[in-house]
Amino acid sequence: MEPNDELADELRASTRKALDDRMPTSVLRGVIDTDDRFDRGLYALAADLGWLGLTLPESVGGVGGTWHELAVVIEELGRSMAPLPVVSSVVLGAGAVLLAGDDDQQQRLLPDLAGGRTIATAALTAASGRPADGLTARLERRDGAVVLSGVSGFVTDAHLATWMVVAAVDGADVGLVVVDAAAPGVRIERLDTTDVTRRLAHVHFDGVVIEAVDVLGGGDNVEMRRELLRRAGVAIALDSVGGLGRVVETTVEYVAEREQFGRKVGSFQAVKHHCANLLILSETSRVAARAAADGIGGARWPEWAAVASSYCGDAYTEATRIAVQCFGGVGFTWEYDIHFFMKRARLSQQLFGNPTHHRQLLVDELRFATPVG
Amino acid sequence: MFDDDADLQAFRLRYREFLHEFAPHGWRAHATTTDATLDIQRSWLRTLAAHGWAAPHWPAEYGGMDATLAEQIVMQQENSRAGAPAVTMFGMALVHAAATLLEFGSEEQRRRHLPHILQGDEIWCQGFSEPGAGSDLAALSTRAVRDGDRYIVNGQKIWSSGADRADRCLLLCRTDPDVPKHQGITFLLLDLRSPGIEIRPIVSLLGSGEFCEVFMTDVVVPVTDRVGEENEGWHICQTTLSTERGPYLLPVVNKLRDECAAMWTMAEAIGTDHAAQVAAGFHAEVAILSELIDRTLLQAAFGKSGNESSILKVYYSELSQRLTTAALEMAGLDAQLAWTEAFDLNSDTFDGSWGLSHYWSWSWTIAGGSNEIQRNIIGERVLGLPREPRPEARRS
Amino acid sequence: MHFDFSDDELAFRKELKEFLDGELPVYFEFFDLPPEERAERSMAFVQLLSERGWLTPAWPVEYGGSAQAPWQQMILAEEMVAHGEPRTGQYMNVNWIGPAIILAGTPEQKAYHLTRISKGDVLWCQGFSEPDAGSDLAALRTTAVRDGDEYVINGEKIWTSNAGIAEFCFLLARTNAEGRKQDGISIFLVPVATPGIEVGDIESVLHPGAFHHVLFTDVRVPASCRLGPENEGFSIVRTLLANERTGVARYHRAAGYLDRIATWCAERDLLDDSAVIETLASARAACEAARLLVYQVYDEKTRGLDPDVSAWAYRTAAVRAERVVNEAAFTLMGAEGLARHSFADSQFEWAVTAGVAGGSYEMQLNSLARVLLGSKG
Ligand SMILES: Cc1cc2nc3c(=O)[nH]c(=O)nc-3n(C[C@H](O)[C@H](O)[C@H](O)COP(=O)(O)OP(=O)(O)OC[C@H]3O[C@@H](n4cnc5c(N)ncnc54)[C@H](O)[C@@H]3O)c2cc1C
Ligand SMILES: Cc1cc2nc3c(=O)[nH]c(=O)nc-3n(C[C@H](O)[C@H](O)[C@H](O)COP(=O)(O)OP(=O)(O)OC[C@H]3O[C@@H](n4cnc5c(N)ncnc54)[C@H](O)[C@@H]3O)c2cc1C
Repeated sequence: MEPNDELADELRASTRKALDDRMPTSVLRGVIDTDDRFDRGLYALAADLGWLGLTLPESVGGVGGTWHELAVVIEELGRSMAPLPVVSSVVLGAGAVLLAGDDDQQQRLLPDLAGGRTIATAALTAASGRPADGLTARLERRDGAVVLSGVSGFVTDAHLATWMVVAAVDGADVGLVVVDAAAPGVRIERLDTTDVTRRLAHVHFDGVVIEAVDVLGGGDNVEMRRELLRRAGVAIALDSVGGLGRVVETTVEYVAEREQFGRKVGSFQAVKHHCANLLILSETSRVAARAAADGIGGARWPEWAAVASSYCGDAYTEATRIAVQCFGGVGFTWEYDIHFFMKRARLSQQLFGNPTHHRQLLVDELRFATPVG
Repeated sequence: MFDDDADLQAFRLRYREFLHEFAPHGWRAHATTTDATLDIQRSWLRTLAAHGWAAPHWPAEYGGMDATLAEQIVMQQENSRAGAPAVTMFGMALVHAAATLLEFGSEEQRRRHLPHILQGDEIWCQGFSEPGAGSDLAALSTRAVRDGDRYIVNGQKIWSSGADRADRCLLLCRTDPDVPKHQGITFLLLDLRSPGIEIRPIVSLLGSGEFCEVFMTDVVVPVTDRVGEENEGWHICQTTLSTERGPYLLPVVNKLRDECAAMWTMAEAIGTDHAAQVAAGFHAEVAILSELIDRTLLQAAFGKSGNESSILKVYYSELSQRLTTAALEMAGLDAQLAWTEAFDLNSDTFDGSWGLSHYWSWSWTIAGGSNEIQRNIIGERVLGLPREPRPEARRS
Repeated sequence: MHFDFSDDELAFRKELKEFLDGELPVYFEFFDLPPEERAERSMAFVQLLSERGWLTPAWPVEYGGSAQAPWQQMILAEEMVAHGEPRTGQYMNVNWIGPAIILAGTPEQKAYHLTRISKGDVLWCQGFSEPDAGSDLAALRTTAVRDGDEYVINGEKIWTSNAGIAEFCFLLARTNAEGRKQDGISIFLVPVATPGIEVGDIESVLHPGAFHHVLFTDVRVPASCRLGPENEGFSIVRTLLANERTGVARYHRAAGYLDRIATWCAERDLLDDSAVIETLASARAACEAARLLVYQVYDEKTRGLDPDVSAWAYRTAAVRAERVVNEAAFTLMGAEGLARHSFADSQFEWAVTAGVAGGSYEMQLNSLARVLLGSKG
């Protein structure tokens, strides 16, 4: 029934320890001040600890684990806000190649990724970053060659990527292609977002020539793109769950110390109830995201992916709003960490589709599967 | 979200077969009064008991099955799949009274009551709240004075659900007024047919007689009907109350699921994206609630949980309120028409009246410890925040 | 109650809007400017207002006002904040610092300060909060000790907006350590340039120069700087801050902001989506609810009624409006709303500070409850 969680508990403890040691917020603050927002050494450690190969098959240098374990790592990354392109590389880049690539493509691209020698991502949305909007990158055939033009919006970690999978309009279909980030015609426009713990980019393609070996898919590409977005949404939900846990802890810690009117402010019922609400948001999000992660590929997976993505996005932003409120004035200072979570939550709520979008996906699932209940 | 393993699957099929053979059909058409509903439930409970399915959560030696939580969940799923009646009117007996007796009752008390409960021969109610003791339950003042091998009880209880049809009552009384309030309370089993008891139904906002006042004048209760030791009632009643946040919640989630499906139908009729998205949002939350209950209860079974179950109660009850509020908005004036009388408010299915569901949802944010109290519990006992200073201290 | 504006008032609003539209770029946020430039541009702009009699119209004529009905002040407050609040910190002067001096000032204080405020040539900051005195303002520990005809001030203020550019500080300090803590506080009108005052930046997540701490080390000010009787500062401030509660027309700015989001949606053909319309409409309703509450406050004031309940209710409604509009912005604009300095970003700042600055949302609810429940609470 409930998967044996001893392994997951161990993985959680070791992941948390590594991130607490290597990426406490004091260190994070230094990293986000750099243009890349990236800690190469920590990424190498992530490879050594096996986070990158967790869900990759052994044939490409992975350990063949499941999303149950990957979920643990993503939650812990969300908790520490460590700027590591794990979700971009593993869930998006490798995920796309596993889903849509043939053996040769997998053998060529994934061992280096699992070993931390390359970084990947996927550019799956239009310039607006909204999954429902028509793609603004397109493939054309010119003199027998496949050429990529246009733009993909709000791509995560594109500035670090060695290669990326791009979803582009291909006639009446969607094409999925692997693009070398250093190829001529690729321009990465770094974005300045309010969330400073991540780096996004618009990626512009100006007549980028795509080799035949870099064309993925060939099956139902539209569904493959949809599936990647689904997984991305659940990854963000898991990241939010990690963040939520930390938000509850730090807020409770603060209000249990801060005194006004000769009392700990946490003893005032208004504040205490805020904290209770934080815990409720955190616990409900946790079960949603974990249920989704555990159900990947199962019969109710699309439904649970939409449940988790829509709920956690709202819950995380609401929780950080409450948390900042509990901190009062210090919540607005750069010195306290809580604002990082607030802004991270905001970005997470919008990345790979906002809650309204995910509820619409759920509507589609329910229509398809009626009757519900 | 659990996938059945082989054993569970076998269990499921066994129960499904039983339901297929024995579950009544068309009973809803006959459930047109409270008494008729009660009869239907009683006869179904007896059928369940005859085949050993009546009290899955009880130990086998008392006629239960030692069922795991997963098995209880499976039974609930199969019940609703088969449209079998829920035995809600016996809930206080099967769940609250039984849990209390199994944990704190004497062997003699268990042997005396549990078989009757199983057969639907004893309906129980709960006499905890008083006019002056609601959230502050420990302030209760109903007095029980020891007189040889009996107690003489005087006082008044209020909000006692179903007392007018009950045979027995789980009663909290003050036996020592001179110690701090939590330390002078005793837990008694009251026979409601004893002389000196007057029961007056209170008309609830639904217009029905959901709960009652119970007046006790020189009522005699034998000492053998005391649960646990004298003055240890506070500790014991925590068990009684916590059952409401346990597997007891499985049927109510079922009702929410039912309501969600009904809302979905309305949303599709309205036909806008917005309406469909609102319905989908609730569908998501009910799925989360159900998952949360399964996981919390599983942990509880392993002895890890306790106060965390307050999270369940708050989330469940407010979800129910938000859902029915949105549904009333979608349903428009149709849902404002007066509904026919409610016979089984705790039913595990939606009976088609959003008004009933909506107004009844407050019972869950108030009864069994209001949500404000639950949030205090979450803040203080789960998160470890400091308590409010005592009012006495503030005055001085 | 009639909330129709009179023809005169409508004409006034029109004239004011035309003037502001002519002087200011569209969608200009003064708070986004670096502090010095903000101060400079704002000072210049306020001169223009003063010349037209639009700075302190509700003040008595003798102090540089034109004794207009409070409604005009209301219209001013709405249009100013909708145009990026070009008065910046000077809105405080108009709303409550000036009125405090009118209420409690000596003839000399009135002559000096009110003239300057009504001419629009002075910036103030508010020195109330301390590290250990936020919600519990009366717990403040900055001391002012009488020494002959001077006071010597020591202590630390925090969160002081505009302290880096202000000329004067409206300071609360403890003059009596005995007895009830509310009864030992006095007000001082202190030039920020006085020796011993040190202003430091606090790095914040808000607009540049939003916050400061201000250290007072043996700061000597003449006793004539004290406003009102010794030890009665707290009650003066409490009365005056009632004006502060309704002085900022947050709902109007938020509603205007919502119009911009609607335009943004229209440009993207989103307005036939029922979910978009719901979101916009319910956010607008929250703004209008706050507006009606503040109109009720003004109505009660003009009719000599006690506006306490509606004033606190308005405060909480205004916070809610800011929050709902903020949510609408992010919901509708998606990832595009997350670019730094996007207009969703600036609404974000208004919305999150709304429930903390000038008394937290929880304290507002406490106050409202106290008014409703009285001694029963
Ligand atoms: C449908 C229904 C069925 C019931 N069935 C039974 C039954 O069978 N047997 C039985 O014994 N009782 C029963 N009750 C009673 C129920 O347990 C009480 O109503 C409940 O404990 C609240 O007490 P009260 O009604 O006296 O409200 P009060 O305690 O007077 O509370 C009034 C309000 O004040 C709030 N409040 C009180 N104290 C605090 C605090 N410290 N902090 C914050 N807020 C506070 C409450 O949350 C509530 O909002 C039932 C109630 C209902 C609604
Ligand atoms: C943008 C901004 C600008 C500001 N500008 C100025 C300025 O110019 N001058 C100035 O003097 N100050 C200024 N302040 C400070 C502001 O007045 C304080 O932040 C505010 O009073 C809250 O105090 P605090 O930050 O110490 O929070 P705390 O008082 O520590 O509050 C922390 C939390 O506890 C809650 N809480 C505290 N007491 C109670 C209670 N009794 N009941 C229920 N809940 C309670 C609060 O609501 C809050 O959620 C500014 C603040 C901000 C955010």
